Amino acid sequence: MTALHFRPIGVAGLIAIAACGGNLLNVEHPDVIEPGNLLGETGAAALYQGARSEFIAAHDGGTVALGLVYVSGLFTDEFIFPATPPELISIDRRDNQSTSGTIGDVFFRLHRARNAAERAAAALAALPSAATDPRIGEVEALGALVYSLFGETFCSGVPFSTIENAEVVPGSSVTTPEMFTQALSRLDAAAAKAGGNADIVNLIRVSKGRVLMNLNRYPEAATAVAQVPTSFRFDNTHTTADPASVNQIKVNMWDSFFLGMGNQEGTNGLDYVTANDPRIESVDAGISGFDLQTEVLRSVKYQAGDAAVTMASGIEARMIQAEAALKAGDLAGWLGRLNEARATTTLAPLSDPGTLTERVNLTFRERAFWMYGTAHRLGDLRRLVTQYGRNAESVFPTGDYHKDNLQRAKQVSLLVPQTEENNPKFNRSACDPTKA
Amino acid sequence: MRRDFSVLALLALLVVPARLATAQAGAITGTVTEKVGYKPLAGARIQLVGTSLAASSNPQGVYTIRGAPGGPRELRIIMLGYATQTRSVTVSATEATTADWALTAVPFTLEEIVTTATGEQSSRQLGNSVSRIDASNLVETAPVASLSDVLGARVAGVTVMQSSGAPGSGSRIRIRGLSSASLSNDPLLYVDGIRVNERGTPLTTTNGGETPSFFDDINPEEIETIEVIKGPSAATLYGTQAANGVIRITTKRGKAGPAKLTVYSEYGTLTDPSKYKGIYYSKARGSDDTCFPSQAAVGDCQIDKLYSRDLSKEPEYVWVKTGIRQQYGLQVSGGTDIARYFIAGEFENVAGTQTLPSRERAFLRDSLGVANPRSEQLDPADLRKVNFRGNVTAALGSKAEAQISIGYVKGRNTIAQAGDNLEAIIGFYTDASADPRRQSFPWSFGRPAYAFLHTTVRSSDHFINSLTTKYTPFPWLSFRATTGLDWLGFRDEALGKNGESAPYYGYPTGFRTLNKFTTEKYSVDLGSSATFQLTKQISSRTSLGGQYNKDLTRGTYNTGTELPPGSVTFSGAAVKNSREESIEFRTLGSYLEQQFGWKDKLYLTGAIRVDQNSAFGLANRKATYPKIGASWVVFEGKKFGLDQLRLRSAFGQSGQQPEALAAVTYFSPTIVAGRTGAPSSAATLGGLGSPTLRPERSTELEAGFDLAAFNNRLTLEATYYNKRTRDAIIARQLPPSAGGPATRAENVGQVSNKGIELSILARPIESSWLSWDLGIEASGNKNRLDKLAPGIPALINFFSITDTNLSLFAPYGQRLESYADKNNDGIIDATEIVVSDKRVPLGNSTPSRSLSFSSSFNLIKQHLRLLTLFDYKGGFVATDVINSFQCFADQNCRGIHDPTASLKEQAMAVAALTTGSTTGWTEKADFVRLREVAIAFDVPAKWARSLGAASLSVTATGRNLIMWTDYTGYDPELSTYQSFAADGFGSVNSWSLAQPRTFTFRVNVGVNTGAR
Repeated sequence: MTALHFRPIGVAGLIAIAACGGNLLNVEHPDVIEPGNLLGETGAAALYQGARSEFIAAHDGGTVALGLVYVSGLFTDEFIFPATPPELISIDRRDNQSTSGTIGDVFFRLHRARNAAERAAAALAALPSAATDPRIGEVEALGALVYSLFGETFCSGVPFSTIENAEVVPGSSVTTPEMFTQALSRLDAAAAKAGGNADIVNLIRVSKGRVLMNLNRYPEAATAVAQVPTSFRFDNTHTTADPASVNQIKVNMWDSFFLGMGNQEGTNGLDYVTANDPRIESVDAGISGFDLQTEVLRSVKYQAGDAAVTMASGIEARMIQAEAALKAGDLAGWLGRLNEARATTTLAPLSDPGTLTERVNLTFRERAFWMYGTAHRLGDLRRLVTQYGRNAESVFPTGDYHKDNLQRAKQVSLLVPQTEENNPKFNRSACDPTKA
Repeated sequence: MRRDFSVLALLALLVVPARLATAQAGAITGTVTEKVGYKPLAGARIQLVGTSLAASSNPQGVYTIRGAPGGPRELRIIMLGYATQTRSVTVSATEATTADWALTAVPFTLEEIVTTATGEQSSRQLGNSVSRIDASNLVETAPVASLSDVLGARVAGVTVMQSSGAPGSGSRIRIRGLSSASLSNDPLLYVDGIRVNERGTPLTTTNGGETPSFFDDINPEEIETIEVIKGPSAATLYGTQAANGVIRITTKRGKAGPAKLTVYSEYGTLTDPSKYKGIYYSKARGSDDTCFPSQAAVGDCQIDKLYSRDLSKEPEYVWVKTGIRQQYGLQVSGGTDIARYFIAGEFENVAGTQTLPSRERAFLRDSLGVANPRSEQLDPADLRKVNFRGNVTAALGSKAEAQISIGYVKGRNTIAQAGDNLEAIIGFYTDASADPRRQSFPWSFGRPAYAFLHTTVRSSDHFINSLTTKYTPFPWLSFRATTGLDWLGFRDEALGKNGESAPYYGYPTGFRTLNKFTTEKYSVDLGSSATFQLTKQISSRTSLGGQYNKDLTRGTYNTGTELPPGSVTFSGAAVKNSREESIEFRTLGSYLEQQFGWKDKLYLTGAIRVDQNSAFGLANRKATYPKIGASWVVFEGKKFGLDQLRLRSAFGQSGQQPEALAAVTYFSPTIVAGRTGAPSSAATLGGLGSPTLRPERSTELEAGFDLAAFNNRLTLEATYYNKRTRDAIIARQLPPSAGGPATRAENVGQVSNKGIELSILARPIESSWLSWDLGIEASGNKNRLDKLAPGIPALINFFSITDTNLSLFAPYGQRLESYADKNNDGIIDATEIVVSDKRVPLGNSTPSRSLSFSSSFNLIKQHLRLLTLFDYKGGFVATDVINSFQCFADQNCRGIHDPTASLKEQAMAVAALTTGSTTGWTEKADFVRLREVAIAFDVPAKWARSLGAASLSVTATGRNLIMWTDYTGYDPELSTYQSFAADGFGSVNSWSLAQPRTFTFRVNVGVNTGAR
């Protein structure tokens, strides 16, 4: 043989690899969904449920996030922290830090919820059935609620960035009133897309009432919720069929000893436990939490893994009407609305405590007991400061912390996380956690 | 591309001088013996310089090179332990040419045959350094139980950091520093020419950070040599993924001759060297509360009494036992010149040092009703491995050879909870209370009985199979093809029966986890080399090749909770959850290398590799990596009192591929409770891919020299390297207000590593009865993030920061700047410490300096050997989470309670209590370990024969015997978090076991069977 005979053999093997280069590099990613698969009805339906999933994870928590209900409850008097991680103790002490991964995660997930809602709404709007599809109004309402939740719980100056063509478009810091205004206009837009579905219509009504209260526009708030029946409920649902969908307050309070009910926390806290109120039944198992020093009191409301978290309800509508009536000096209307709600239970009717301060206290106490563990309380306490002129230290838990020889700080809102400093338009100085 | 390379291939082959193509071929044969005593030498490598032809001597010392072109030629012989020789022969085309060799034994040799991407070459031809470990000799004498042990402290520039001291725990192997801030810093691992799993998938069950590693599936007993290719300048032709270096392992091959049977057995003990620090309680006078000395010092309270306990030493709570390691192996090798074989089998068992205390066993039985606990509930740390290897090398005619390598490892590793999940056994003891009121129940969040109920088990089947064929149709032309598959199937499982799970764990009614995975690494490596003499003085070697690698990992995650009483499977689980995972990479690469030699003294090499990779962005599907190198043997033989001097330098690039989905925008499937509460499928945004994503590109220049002196009783290899990683992929933190993914991989960084490496071997004493060998492996590395693209902020995680002008993953926190007992009351209070206002970088996360010193006394004609290995690592800090947690969270540490604690200890505690700063426990971690001690005795052959054996040796060894350090934690080397992205955690010990102190006794018996 000569070398010439071998040249084809040598070259052939080497070229063979390169010859089918394109195909050899094709890989599949079967456990993810390519955007092209989300076109059409089924894709829009998946995005709709994805938007709900993101909202529930942000609000109620998920397997990797503690959620706004947990964090805002810890920051106020609803929950106390019976475990050891200092970061969560700081939140419980009203001393949240911009480096807190927990706060950062809530912030991040609320924005994901907003983004997902907008994406789902766009996908649903592209369907032939868009004109009558109530899911569009629903996800737009959830997206709008995110603005309100930011305004209620975070400091002023939250930015709202967007993603366009796979690139981030930075958003500027937005003031608290601007967040509520944004929420309102988005809810108005959502109202036109409820497809006549009563649940969605009422969700939007109650949400509008909530936002209008935040804007100190009480008469409009009362009007917005007037037609909502007391029996209405719109829930964030949970299921035990999937660990990621289990109610995380249940997991942290009943399974992991990482959360306990507050009871007269920090002088100003309400007596959620000792009031023995049927709206918030509690169980004292006589056990200490993870820190081995804090008694864990558990809420029966969230004893089940599939316990829902109510986002909006007819009860809330009555509370909004009652507060609006009180603001307007209509004491009969005020007490009537409060008792209209109580009439749905075995609770005795309330009577007028006699002074405005006590009436306000009673109103917010009723709200707190009705909407315990639903991320309403922090917004309420801030309203007491901004709209009723209360001193923050007279409404928030204050003074000595319950363990470790620590003192509470004086924050009234959650901080925009340090990670947002990646946004060149973010103005850190606009975010003051001591200002309501 | 295809067209480009086909042209290159043709050119490379056509350029061959016609006279070579038509020259008649002859044979060269001869015998290799020792110069003194004329003992035949097996394994010497004889090369026909300027061609692809070579042969090895058989046990009789005989070799034959067939197909040698006629005419005057140069022959070179290389053998470990003997001086390299070169001689001229005139090859006859009509009859065999004889060339006998008499080799002179020397202590050390600089020249070796190393396996490069283009095939075997002499080290003198390479511009880069390649470190080589002769593993086959090492395992018989040194206390090495794993591949990680073999690599540790033996190669300058290679750092091995253990995850923990538990059996089967993995290690981080870093070569020439950290190059990547977001991708793996693991080197590539090759076994017999094919890619195999490096560490593999981290443990997929909840375990707190500790994880076993498949790296240690490679049994050191089966290894012939390990070659470490340290950086891009050497690893260019390995292409994308090779930026962190390459470790090439060659398993043992049979040698022609009668079957040789080797039986070995090893038995030893493991002990936990840690002295646990106990718990303290300073009781206030007139109250049940505590009164800390720092509080008493300012008049807040008065101390009544100080209580302390060390539960780990209380007999009913002792959880540390003496572990056992045993190993039994058998190897057979032999064959003929036509076919040779090597067959090996081994069983290994390591029973760790953890055990459930007697009182807790009683609690399990009496209170939880666990009548028949599983073994892992009582003695949770255990490793069992069965290894099998069969290697066959067969001549296919006179011009071709095939090598088949079959390796199999069956493993079962039970792993107690450890690390940062509060289920680690250590945590139960360090988080307890010394409050006298809790004398009978001092536990914190749970009692130790629960510690091992959540033990996880990793079972694996690992096949590493390859086929290599070599074909040399002409003396100047060779072809090589290697194909292989590294197939790994493993499952991670955990079980908590109904009623047995720790109450705080969250599944009081039981849980079951069973995650199953397969990983497949396919390798195809084709290459050819054409070697010829352009002139009498100038040689040429042209290599052309291509490689295809496909890595596919597929797995399912399955969990079930709420089990019926007694149930151990998913069948009765009320809640079940499953998901799948699939990760695939494909790389297609081709290379062309041209080397010119001048007088066999100066070699210049240039090469280029072109890669395409599935993980690159669609806009950048191709990456090109160039390389050049030069090697100059300045002189050989006596000159200036030296034996040899070689200068070398190399420049090259290689890459690191992005994560599989980094360039892709995708949605993730998930489940949500629908409006009615029924589960519903959903899609959420998963990743925001960057279509322009490129591989990380590391460029390295290295230069150095090799020197031999004093009749080869001293060799010195020195290397300087400068590695710069451009387009460093950073998981860029996106503004969370965008509502997208948290991060996106982008090419936005530049990382540099500069350093020096020094290897010295010396034999100060040499006589027939006594010789003394010394070895030093030293290295220094300066690692920095040079820059980030504008607008990209530092990467900050819980423990570390990656920012410009800092080493990657620098530990980070509010520093305890100073403390002073200003009022001289012996107590440090909050006014006597200074803590930085902001978090600051605290040092390097991995060692920047290392020095190992080995000594071997060979006595009684080398029958008795005394070996020691000291290992120093410095220039880094480590974090002791265990003791910091005791102070800032449990508040039971000595520094808080005991007024006689050192001022430093008090200051650390006060800082933690009053400012939350725990950086006092991030300490300088420099250490020196007496890593290995061994006494080996080779029984004289006469004695061995009288016992029916051809050879017999016994070895007694100790490992991790003594450590000198100022670090106050339990083990400065530990790195609890071992996942791929876990470099960010640096050296952090979170409730993991320190590396055990081991003593072993080993017997090796060799038997000549006489059969072939």
